[in-house]
Formats: sequence, structure tokens, C-alpha cells
Amino acid sequence: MNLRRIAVCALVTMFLISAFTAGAAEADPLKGRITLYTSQPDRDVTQLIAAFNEKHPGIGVDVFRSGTEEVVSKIRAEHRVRSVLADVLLVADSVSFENLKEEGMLLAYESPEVKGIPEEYLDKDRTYAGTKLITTGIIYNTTKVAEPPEAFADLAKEAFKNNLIMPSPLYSGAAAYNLGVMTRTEGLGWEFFEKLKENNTRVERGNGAILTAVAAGERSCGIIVDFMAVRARESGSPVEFVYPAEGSPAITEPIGILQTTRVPGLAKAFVDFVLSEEGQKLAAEMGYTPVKDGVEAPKGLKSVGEIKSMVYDIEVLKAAREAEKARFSAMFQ
Amino acid sequence: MHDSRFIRYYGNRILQAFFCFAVFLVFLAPLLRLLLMSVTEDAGYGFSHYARLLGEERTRLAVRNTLIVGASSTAFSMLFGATFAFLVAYANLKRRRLAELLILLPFIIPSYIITLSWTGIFSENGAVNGWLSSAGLAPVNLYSLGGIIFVHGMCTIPIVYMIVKAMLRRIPVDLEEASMAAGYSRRQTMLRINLALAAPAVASGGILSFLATIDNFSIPAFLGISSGIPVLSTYIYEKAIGFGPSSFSDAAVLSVLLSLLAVGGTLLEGFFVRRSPGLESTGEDASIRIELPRRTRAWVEWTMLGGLMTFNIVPLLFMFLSAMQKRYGLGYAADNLTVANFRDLLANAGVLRAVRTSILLAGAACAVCIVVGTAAAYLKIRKNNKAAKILEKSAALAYAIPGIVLALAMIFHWVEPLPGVRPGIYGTMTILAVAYVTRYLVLQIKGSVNAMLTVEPALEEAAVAGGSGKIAVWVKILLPLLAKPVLASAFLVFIPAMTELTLSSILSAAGTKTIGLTVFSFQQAGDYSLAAAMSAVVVLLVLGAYGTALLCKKFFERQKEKKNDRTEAGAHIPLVRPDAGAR
Repeated sequence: MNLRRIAVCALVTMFLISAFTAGAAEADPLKGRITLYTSQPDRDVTQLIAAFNEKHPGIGVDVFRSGTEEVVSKIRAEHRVRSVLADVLLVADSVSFENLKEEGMLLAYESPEVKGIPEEYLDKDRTYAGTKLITTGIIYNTTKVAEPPEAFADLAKEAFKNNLIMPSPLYSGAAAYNLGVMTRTEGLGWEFFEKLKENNTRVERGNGAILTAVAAGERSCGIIVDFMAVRARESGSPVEFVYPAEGSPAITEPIGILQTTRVPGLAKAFVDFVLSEEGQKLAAEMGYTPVKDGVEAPKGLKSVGEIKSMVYDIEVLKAAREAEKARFSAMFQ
Repeated sequence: MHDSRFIRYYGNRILQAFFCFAVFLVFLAPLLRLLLMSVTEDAGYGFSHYARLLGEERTRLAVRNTLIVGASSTAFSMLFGATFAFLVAYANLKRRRLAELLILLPFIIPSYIITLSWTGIFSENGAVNGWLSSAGLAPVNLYSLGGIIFVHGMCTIPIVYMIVKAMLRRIPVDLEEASMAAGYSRRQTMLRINLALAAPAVASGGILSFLATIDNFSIPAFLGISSGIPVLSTYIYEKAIGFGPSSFSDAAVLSVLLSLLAVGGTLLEGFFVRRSPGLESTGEDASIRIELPRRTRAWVEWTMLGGLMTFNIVPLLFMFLSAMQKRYGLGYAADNLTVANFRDLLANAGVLRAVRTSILLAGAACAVCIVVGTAAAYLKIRKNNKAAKILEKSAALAYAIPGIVLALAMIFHWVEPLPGVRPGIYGTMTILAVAYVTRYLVLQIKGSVNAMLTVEPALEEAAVAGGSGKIAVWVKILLPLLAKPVLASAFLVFIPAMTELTLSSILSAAGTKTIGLTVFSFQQAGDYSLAAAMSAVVVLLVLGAYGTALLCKKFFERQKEKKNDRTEAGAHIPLVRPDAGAR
């Protein structure tokens, strides 16, 4: 009696296992849904997911898109009440990721696709990896500026008095990162920002406002991210973008997986895709500089190998960020 | 008999207890979480965050600026809002519909568009400032305290206007006639009767505009950040998005400070309302009460319309022109204008979904607000119910707290509102509806309270004495009398909920989008023309809804007239208590 029962059980189990594995072997083994929190523009996310789904049609991606600061606040609040809904995070700068990493929120994952990506754009513990390069440089209005600036230091010149505009590090993570790097670069430092203040530089909330003001000629010259300026130029706005002689501070729009994810396999597949050559070519098509060596940058932008990078130890930057923001706000008050 | 009274008594008690519990759970608990967060330290609780922040120069500066901006722009909007309301409600002006539409425009146009358009007009190298300096005058710089106050004031005039106009119309003409018969002049009557009776409405309009001003983020973010003028709302945002263990606590501390300002404002309002006389009347009376002589009328009318045109049409034009720019920032010449942006928008399935989602959410929030807000108003005015008063106060606080902090408090609260209870609301769209109700309920309560104040309790008492049940009293007396003013204030809830940005930018569920979030995305991607086009579409939607509402109103009025013709012979209910004028 007992033996018979065991035999039946074993048979059923075997049948189930074989049925399961047979079914899985047929199609893409990855099926399910992941949730992505991101600060990428809508258009880019849509394109990215469409391309991803061509490769993994079984993985649905639910997207929450907002500003980097909003996304990070949301995810930190979720963490506090132990209800993180995101599986994958993709936001503007690595300092945000460093902070989340410190709070133990990120999963370490050595993606096979990181080869070709310069080490300086990767986390040494592999909890996140850069997905593209967004450098910061100088934009100027071609109808208003006779002698174009070549370096950040040129902005301190008398010629640009009352005519400068820059994004506020208090409101944009990218700008806060730039502040950290630039104040630690030889030839710039805090003196550079003091000179900007003396030149009566207007401080705005985001890069969009910089583009608007310079394109409209309200200010002749500004500090801005590369792709926005180049896109505006390509579509006919009277602006030009300059890679500064001192080097380009770059944010990398890193991607990382949350420790709390219930679908690590699917999340990893998504990260792999973004970092793969295919994903990097897609980034170039969208108008960004790919972070992978060998994938060509779009028209008007330099490729990763040609960019003179301006970097600094991320942990130092992270530790100093709040104090620097306070110093900046006191200076520009 | 005894049994049914017993049941009714305990039924009422249970209902009231349930109401109190719901009020506590939905409105007070998130605020308490905030308070708790502000005193949370690394180990245990304490006031160290308060001590540290209050010791900072920047905090004091932010509080001072917030007070200056709040008080000045409220004075500005009260002055203009009440004046417009007075003229439109009473004077024999023509084109009143047009005037009203113009007055309400800033409420419909998103405030970031208004801000953008004014900075465009007063840009440093712009025509207006060039003209001013060539005339030897100082150029206007909107990136200043004055500029912030001006734009805030412009944006809050409609709030005061809506509330005051409804009140003025409900002051019975009989009262005026009585006063004139007693020998007072028209002017004295207006001052002593109408203005005195309208004072609580002016005060509650003022307090709403004060609350709307101190928590507003987009205007000071635009005008104040670049010129180094911190106010509490922008300062709170800076703290909330900062890192470090104390960032949430700091934001909470500053929110508590802001709440104190708000409470101060509501206390001031309470002072005025308590001093105001009671008022009993039913329905709005749109008859003309001030006959201006022809020339004065024309003068007043055209000054008002002219002023409104320049001040309120300009942002509208700016928005449509920006929406039609091929390349943003390249001027408004004909060859740079196109309708392609609108075409792109309407072809975008995501945009259409966002519009549907927002309308649905705003509609749901509006419906809940109407029911809860009117119930609270009834309990407050008729039953002097404590829970209803607490509800009103906490709703006012929820309205005054900056969106980002309220959004975070909503996450902290709604993931686990009671220990062990996880309703799973967070992460779905329901959380946004809850958040909108939390944020905008106070607007409905104020509107419903004003409406309730004008319904004579004697009417209900008479009905009850005549043997009508509770339900019959509501259906036959309260609902018909309250419907119009209550729906009018529901408009004040619906519009901002439909275009809401800050709460949506944090609480939206993955895979869903609202109108505000769509505009935000376009802006962040640098697609300013698309953002403007989206806002323009929203404005058109609202204007369409407004037009439909007007048509409905006309239709109902015609129906009513027909009905009235039939019941002309019926007895009139006395609308004014004989002693009303004496109080």
C-alpha cells in the first residue's frame, strides 16, 4: 500500500518535471514582468523597451518615469517602509547609485556585457554600470558671440559678464556632480565659481532652461549637457556646442538592479541588453554618446575614446556633496 | 418605538465613530507621520533637527520670504478678486460672461506657463524693458521678491473671485431694500450689509490663496532659484531630494514650520469668520443691484476688460505661440510656426491615455470630495461636530504642505496604514486619487460650508416638523439648494487635480501616466514646444468643459422657468428670518 503510494508520487513528480522542462526549452525561458524606475525621456524608454522586447518577447516592462530626484526620493521612501516596487533602476548619475549602494539597496551583478566599457564608468563592486556618456560643456548663441569660448576658464572673461547661465546643483544631480568634479580640477576650483558669480551668472533649475535662454538669446552663453545642445543645433537653433579644453565632466546614466527584486533573472537580462552592443547602438541612435568602446557616437558628438574625461573618486564626491551644495547656495545667494 | 430610537441613537453613534476613524486614518495619520519623522533621530526621538535648522541663516531667510510672499500676494489677490467679484455680481456691466472667463483664465492655465510668459515679456533684452529703460524708467526684473509676489497674486485671483462672487450673489436683495427703507444710502448699504456679509467669503478666499501660495513650488522655483531667493517650498524640495540620513527629517521639520504658518493663517481666518454675522437665504440672485450711469459703466467695463485682456490673454497667447514653434526660442515669425506639435501629440497613444487617466482620477477625486466635503460642511454648520472641524483643519494643512513632502508622507502612510494592514493601494493608481482627495478636499469643504451657511436651517426644521425623514430633507431641500454652489467649488477641485504635477511625479504607478507627468516629461527632455502644446490641449479641454457647463446651466434654468410658470400660484417660502437684519 505504502510502496504503491510512493511509486505513484514519484511517477507524477517525474511527469511534472519532464513536462515543465520540455515546455521551457521550447521558447525563450524568460517570462514575466519587471518594473523599471527611470529618469530617461519617454521617447527613449519606449524605444529601449521595444528593442528589448524584440529579443525577449516574454518579459513585460512596466515603467515609472520621473525626474532623477523624484525617482530616487520615491525609491528611498519605499525602502524605508520595506516595499520597494522597482526591479531595475536607471537614473542620471552615479552618486545617486553610490548612496543607494551604501544603504544596501543594490544587487551586485557582473554582467558579461561590461567588456569594452572603461573601468572609470563602472562600479568596482559591480552594483551599477554606466549606460551612456552625457558630458557637460559650453553652449553659445552663434548670433551673439563673436569669439567663442574654448575652455570653462574662458567664461570668467569680462566679455561674458551678465550673459552666462548654468544649471543649479541644488536641483539637478548632474549639476551637483559637475560641481564636485570641477571644483577639484586644476585651473578651475572654487575660484572659477566665484568668478562666475562675479560675472553675474544666472542659475537655473535644469538644462532645459539653459537651452531655452541661450537659443532665445536671453543669455549668450551657458553650461549645458552635450546632447541637448547638439540636438538643438541639428534642428536649426542658432547655437553651437564646445567640448571644454580642461576636459568634460560626464555623467553615465548608470543602470542597477535592486537587492529586493523578486525576478533577478529577468532584471539581469534587461541590464545585459542595455550594455550589449545592440543596446549601445540604440543609445547612439537616440542621440547619446555610447559608453562602450567601438560603438560610434552620433553626428556632432565625440565617441568615448575621443573624450578627454574629467573624473574624480566617486566616494569622495559623494561624501562632500551636501557640504558643496551648501557652499554653492551660500555663494550664489 | 423604543427599539427604533435605541437603534437610531446607537446607529448615529456608530456612524460618527466611523467618520472620526476615517478622518483620522486618511487625513490626520499621514500628517502625524510627518511630525514623527521630524523628531526622528539616529537613536530615538528629539528636537535636534529643529535646533540645527532653525539655527541656520537660510532657514530664517526662507521663513521670512515665505511670509512676505504669502501675505503680499494674498493681499493682492484679495483686493482684485473681491473687486472683480463685486463688479461682476452686482453692477450692470455688459459682457459679464467674457469678463468672468478672463478672470478665471489664470486658474486654467498652468502656473509654469504663466511664469514663463511673464519672464518672456520682461526678459532682460526684451522689448518691454528696452522701452522702459529708454523712457528713463527702471527695468522690471521678475527674478525678485516683487516678481514672485506678482505672479502668485495673478494666479490666485480666481480662487478669491469664485468664492466671493458666489457669496455676494446669495445675499438677499430684501436685506438691501430693508436697509434703504431705513434711510441708508446705496453706498452705506453696500458697505454695511453686503460687504460685511461677504467678509467671511473674502477671508476664506484669502486663506485659500495664502495656502496655495506658500506651498507653491513652480513659481518660486522658476523665479527664486536663479536669483537666490529661497522660500520654504523650494527649500523643502532641496532637502527632500538631498541624501544623507537626515534628508527626510529635515524636509519634515521644514514642512512642520510651513504648517505652522498655515495654521496661523487659518486662525486669522477664524477670527474674521466668527465676527461675521449669520446669513440666511436660498439660491443665487443674479439680478443687477448697482445701476451705474452709462458713462461710468462703460468706463468701468472697459478698464476691467482691458486690464484683464492685457494681463490674462497674454499668457494664453504665449502658450499657443510656443506650442506652435518649430524650433523653440527662434521667435514667432510665421515661418517658424506649425501645427505639427499638436499633430504629434494627438497621434501619441500615451498622451491620449494620460488625458483619460487624469480625467478619470480628477473625476473620482472630485466625486469623493463633493460627498465628504459637503457632509463635513453639514456636520460642522448644523451639528457643530468636532470631527468635521478637525477634518477641515487637517485638510487645510494637507493643502499647504508642499507636494513632494505630502507624496512622501503618503508612501510612508499608505504602504502600511495600520500595523499589519497592507491594503496594496500604493503602487496602483488609487493612491493618486487618495492623494488628490487629501490635497484638494479643503477647497470643497470651504465651498460647501459657504453654500451651507446660506441655507436657512428653519427650512429643514420645517420639513422635519412636517414629518419628512432625513433623506427627504436632503433630497427635497438641501440638494437642490446646495447643488449649484457645491458644483461650482467642485470645479476648483477638478481643474488642479486634472493638471496636478508634484504628487503625480512621485506617486504615479509604473505603467501609467497623468497629464502633469506628461508635461513634466516633455519639459525634462527639452521638448518645450510639445510641453506647451500639451498644456494648450488641456486648456482647450477645460474651456470646452466650461462651455458645456454653461450650456447645461442655461438648459436647466429654462426648465426651471417652465416649472415656475406652472407653480406661480404656489405660496412663497419666506427666505429671510424677520430678525436677520438686526443680527
